[in-house]
Amino acid sequence: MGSSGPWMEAGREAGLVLSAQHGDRGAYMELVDHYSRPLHRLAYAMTRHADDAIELTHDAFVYGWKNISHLPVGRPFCPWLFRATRNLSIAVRRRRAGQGDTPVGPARQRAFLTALSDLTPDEQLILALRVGEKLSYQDIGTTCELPARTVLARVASAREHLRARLAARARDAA
Amino acid sequence: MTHLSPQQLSAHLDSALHGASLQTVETHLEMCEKCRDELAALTLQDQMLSQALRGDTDRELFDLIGLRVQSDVHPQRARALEKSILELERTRDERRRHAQAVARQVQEQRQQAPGLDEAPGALPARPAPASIDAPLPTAAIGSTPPAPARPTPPAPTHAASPAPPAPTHAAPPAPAATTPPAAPAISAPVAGPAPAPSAPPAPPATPPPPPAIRAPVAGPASAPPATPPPPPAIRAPVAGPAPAPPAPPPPPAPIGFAPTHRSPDPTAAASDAAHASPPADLRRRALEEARARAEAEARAFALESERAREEAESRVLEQAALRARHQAAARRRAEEESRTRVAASARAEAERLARAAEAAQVAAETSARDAMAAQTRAETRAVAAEEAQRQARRKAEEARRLEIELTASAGAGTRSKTPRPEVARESGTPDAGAVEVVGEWPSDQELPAVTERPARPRRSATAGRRETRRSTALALAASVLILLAAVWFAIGRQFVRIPAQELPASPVVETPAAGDAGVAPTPAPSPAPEPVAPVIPAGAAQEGHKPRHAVPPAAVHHTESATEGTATGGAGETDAGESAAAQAEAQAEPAEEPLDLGLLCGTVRDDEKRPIAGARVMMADVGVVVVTDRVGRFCLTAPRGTRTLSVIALGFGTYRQTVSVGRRTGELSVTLQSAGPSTRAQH
Repeated sequence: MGSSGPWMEAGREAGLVLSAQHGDRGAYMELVDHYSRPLHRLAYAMTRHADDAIELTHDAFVYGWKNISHLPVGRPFCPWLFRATRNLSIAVRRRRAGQGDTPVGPARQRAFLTALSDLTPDEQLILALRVGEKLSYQDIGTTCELPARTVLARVASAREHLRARLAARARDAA
Repeated sequence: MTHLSPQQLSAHLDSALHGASLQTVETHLEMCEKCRDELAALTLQDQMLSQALRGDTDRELFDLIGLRVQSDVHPQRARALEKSILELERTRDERRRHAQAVARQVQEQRQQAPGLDEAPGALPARPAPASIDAPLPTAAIGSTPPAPARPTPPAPTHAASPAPPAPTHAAPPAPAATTPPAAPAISAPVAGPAPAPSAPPAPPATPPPPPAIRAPVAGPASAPPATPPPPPAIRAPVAGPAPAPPAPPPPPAPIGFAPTHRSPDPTAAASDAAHASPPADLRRRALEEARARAEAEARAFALESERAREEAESRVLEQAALRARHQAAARRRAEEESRTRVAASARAEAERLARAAEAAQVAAETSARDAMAAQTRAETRAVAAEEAQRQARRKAEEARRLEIELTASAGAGTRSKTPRPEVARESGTPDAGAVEVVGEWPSDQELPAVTERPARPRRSATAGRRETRRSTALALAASVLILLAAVWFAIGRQFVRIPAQELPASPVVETPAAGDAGVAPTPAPSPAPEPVAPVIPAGAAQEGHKPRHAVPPAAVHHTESATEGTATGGAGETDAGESAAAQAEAQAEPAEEPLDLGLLCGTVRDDEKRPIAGARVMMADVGVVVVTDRVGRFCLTAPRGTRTLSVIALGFGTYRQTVSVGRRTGELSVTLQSAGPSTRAQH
């Protein structure tokens, strides 16, 4: 199950992060170029809305630039940014709550996205990292700051919840 | 049978099981169909979810995100982006104008060269879209050039024209089955279409191309030599589907424009094929119509796609420019606000400092006025104090004069040595005004003058007030003490036996204690003269001469002659008057036994021979206590005999010494040891 995931090479990422912490915008833009796709996918999984995903990705990168000095030396950049995205997505979710969340796309995908919206943010994050990004349990644990064993249990729980929600929506539709 | 748990299924789905657990799960899955179904459902669910989460993977979307982040991260970069956008717009306008000019030129050449119709494969160029496809000035923008958010227009609805919307398309698909594929070259010389069966390839016999033509292109093989020169196409003509007419040599492409490949309408080709049997002019007319129709449709489609693309581009550029302008405006506003804030704060600070300076000035003026008023009050009080001091001094002088007069009168009456009190008055010390009577004063010494320290200069108003109060108090205390001393002196005179012949009318001739005031002094001859000694109260005499209090200095007066007479016992050493007075006294008071007093004087010093002032010199058995003066000197009178002398001083050990008090004891030097009981007396 080992997966390299979206991680950059550790030494290169550490150098870019260190340069960005010293104010090097070019180094940070390299990080942005490298992590924009996985972060956008995660943002889309968390928001299930194209425009919100773009906004969330943008906000997450801007947050990362403003707070990269708080990132401890030696800690990976991407999990920290994923956690920030997860936290920022909660605000987007609240803002979107009153406007009605209607994902676009084929009906089957819409059903999945709608069922995904019924899960908790942590479950959405774990499923997005596991199913969308194909991350290993170890990497998910690094991102969510959880042990791998706990990640295993939570992934299974999230899958069960998603399945239950899909079944419930299918019953409602019928 | 126990089925697999969701965690086992999930872990197996994620390939997270190893070893025995993996074997157990696989074994179970082989046997249990339900668990296999569960696993399959989970797998399908993951696949569907993965597809649903894929989202938009357009490259330009991430470029846009990168641009936005860069504009936020790098504000200076946003300004450069704005400039590059403006440059891009300007360049695009120039290229559009240039393309329109070239298109007009092509139209003119086509009108001048009707032989173009005989080259069905050579479609007129469409320069306008080509101008848009020119490379963007990415160098000015950076690594991430602005890209349109809507990258591609919708697919063309033109059924017969599958021409791609992007002009850079390498090779359009063949419009008809009989048409050979067009050459994909863009700027290189394009090979012509496949040679028509009726026309072998021939070298181009066309006149030289116009100056705008970049390079001659190898014309199609079907171009007849007699064909007039074709109009300059954009870059390279595409081989047409019509094989019959000889195609003119392909026009060269103008400089700086990308080619636009347009395929003829397939319907036109079909119509050509259908109308192959009619005469040549009819076929030709039909072909022209079809070609014109295809041309019009292609142009319409190209224009539409170009318009959509331009709209998309302009929208993106407008958004970026608007964002950059907003940011610049926000930055300018922030700078102006900060400048305004700084100026306002500086102004407020200046006003605050000015107010503080004014307040300080007012306070200084007020304090100066207060100080002047205080100084005036202090001067007034100092003047009043000086006046009071002068008055006190005058009173003291009067009291001293009165005392001197009294002393003189007493001395004149008794002709004896009257102890003169040592008056020590210091105007600046706490014990100023204290009067010490330390015993009998030597006759050869004059009355000490009142020593007064000079007044200290005034330092301030408070010090002046304090000094004034102190001097006033000292003056009052001195006056009171002097009056008390005078009263005491006057009262003490009553205890002194005065010779009758000298003070016949004095009311204090006899002591009240004697009780024989009515006894007339009858001079009676006495074989031996009686010494005249001071008389102490009768009660004290009866009690063995042990008074409770210190003997008043005035009460220990005794005459030198009486003492000497008592000591010597001789009769010839005194004069007759004194003998007679003594005899009269003896006869008047036969019951009184005269005390035999002795004088003891000395000096109290410390280890370093410095005088100790204020030391108490006591003879406890007779109740005599005196205090040393400033030079440590003391004098006391006590009944003769062996007495115990005690000296106490603060900070020194107690001195005890047995002394014999005689008639005239010599000087006693007492040395007090600091904090030690052992003392030493030197005679």
